[in-house]
Amino acid sequence: MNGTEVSAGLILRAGLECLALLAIVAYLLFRTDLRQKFYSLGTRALATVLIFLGAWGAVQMVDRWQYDYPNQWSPIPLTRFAMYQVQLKESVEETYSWQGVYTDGEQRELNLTAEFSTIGLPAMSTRMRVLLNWAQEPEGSADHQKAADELKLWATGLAKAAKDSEPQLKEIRFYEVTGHYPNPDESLLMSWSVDELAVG
Amino acid sequence: MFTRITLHEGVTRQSLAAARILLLGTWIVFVFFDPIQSLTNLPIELFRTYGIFHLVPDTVWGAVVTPTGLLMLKIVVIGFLAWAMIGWRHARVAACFAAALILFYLQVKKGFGGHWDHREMTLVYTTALLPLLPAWDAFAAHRRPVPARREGVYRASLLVLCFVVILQYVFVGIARFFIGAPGVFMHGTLQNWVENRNLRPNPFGFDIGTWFLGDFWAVPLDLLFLGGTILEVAALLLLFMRPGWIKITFIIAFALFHISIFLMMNVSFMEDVVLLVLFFDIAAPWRRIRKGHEGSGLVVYDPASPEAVERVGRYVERDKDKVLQFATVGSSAAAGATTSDLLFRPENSEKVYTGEAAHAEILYRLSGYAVRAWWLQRGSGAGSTLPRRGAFGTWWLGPRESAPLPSDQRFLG
Repeated sequence: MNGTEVSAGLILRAGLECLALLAIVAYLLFRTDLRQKFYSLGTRALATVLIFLGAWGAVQMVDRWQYDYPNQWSPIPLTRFAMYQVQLKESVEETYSWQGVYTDGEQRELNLTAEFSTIGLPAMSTRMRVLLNWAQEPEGSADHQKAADELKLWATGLAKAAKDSEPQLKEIRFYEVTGHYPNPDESLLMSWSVDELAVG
Repeated sequence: MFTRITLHEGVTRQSLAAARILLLGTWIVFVFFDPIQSLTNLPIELFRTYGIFHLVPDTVWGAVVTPTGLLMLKIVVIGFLAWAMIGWRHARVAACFAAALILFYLQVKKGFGGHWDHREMTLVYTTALLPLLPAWDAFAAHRRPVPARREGVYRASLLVLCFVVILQYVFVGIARFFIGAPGVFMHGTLQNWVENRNLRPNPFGFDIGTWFLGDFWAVPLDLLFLGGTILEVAALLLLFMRPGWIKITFIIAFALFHISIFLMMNVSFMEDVVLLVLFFDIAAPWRRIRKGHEGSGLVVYDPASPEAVERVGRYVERDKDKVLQFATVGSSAAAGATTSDLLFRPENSEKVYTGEAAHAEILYRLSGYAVRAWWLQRGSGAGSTLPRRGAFGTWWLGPRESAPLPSDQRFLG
């Protein structure tokens, strides 16, 4: 089953997931003394806690678009907690790589995730996965153009970060990576000369 | 059948205050070491807002994602976090601002990502709930007296925090079972992910996952994945666990689960490992160390001795936990003691201490005097009653505190 495909099967599964969550909530509320324990918080605090838990639970049941990019709708600061639910083909059969060509003629990896580790690996992976897919669309298509525009901006960020490197960076390349560890195959998708990037 | 929640029986205001320090302290470390300044290398055109942050004008983000803006943001966030953690006046208000600022801070980071992942969200939610809880009733710099609270409020507060942590696991586990099972646990699914995550750029560089890419490991990894998911759903059981080895095993299993994902797939959920500490009474070792010795005991003194009376007066004043009993020489409770010197007999013990040794033993039972008592005891040369559970044991297995004695049982004659 493709995880992003809205099918009857997925709707049934999502419905069953909601029922399971509701059953757990019902058990905790009616078959344990959790409610009585929470009463000690006082009316206002308890009401706020319950509203928060209710809203979070609702988002957990409803939000199925959290991994979409660009995201059109998002309930942030609430979010659905789910990961590694379904194995998407594109999440295991391919990945990406940024490489830099330096003035000494060597080509070395530019680790985007280390350079901008503050963004977080899962968030960065989602964005790169989508850009990788778009970049593989036929040249001239809207998605390919979107990928070209955005990847150029990422290349600019990498070039800025490597501005003071020695030897100097002269070209940045974006690859599709397939195959198996430890000898994957790399296919060049796009490249930019540092001179054409607005490094400043 | 009605099931009783047994998590966090016997916690105190110190336990909740320690949880506050843990949560806010974790954020301070997180923000302090976060290399957010690197974002200034990225064009602002890459930035996107999520959820409620669509309401913030674009000019704000443009101003924040600058070297000065990010440095100021970091300083302000840490400032509010420290204010709330230390517990100066209006710490609760500071905690509200801190929670809002943390969300803003995360949006600045995640705005350059492809989605807003839930890595830090459990820590956000637990932190945001703090202002609703009496988390500043202990270990706080303000000098306000602790107001009267509802019975069980500290336990309820810690249960709420733990419940949020439990829910995150249950949500993730249920989602995987109902959306992905059984396929997600078959055909080397986890192994495929492990391989791909080791081919994919990552900031940590662990390659332990590549040790398990052989055909042999496909099924064990599938089973491990299934076991991990069962563990996530079973997090609910933590609500019904008392301190003990089952609970410890559970918590260690969760920690290993996160650490193995980190080492094999370079995906870090270290904040969640810290949150596991919430399932223990964090202040128990502190209380235990400060008190030095547990249990009650009988202080026998001579009412005709002004020095003894003065000393006993100080003991009564300092005995905030009301664990000591007092009797005068010659009273029936003093059990034949005739000495004019101060005398102390620990609860359930035939051993009797006099003079400075008695003073040391009494101080051991008063919160805040453990070091002084230890020093006096060294000087007196007297042996001591051994604590029934050490600080390490208390950390894992929970405290064994003496209940306060009612007044009529404290002053025996």
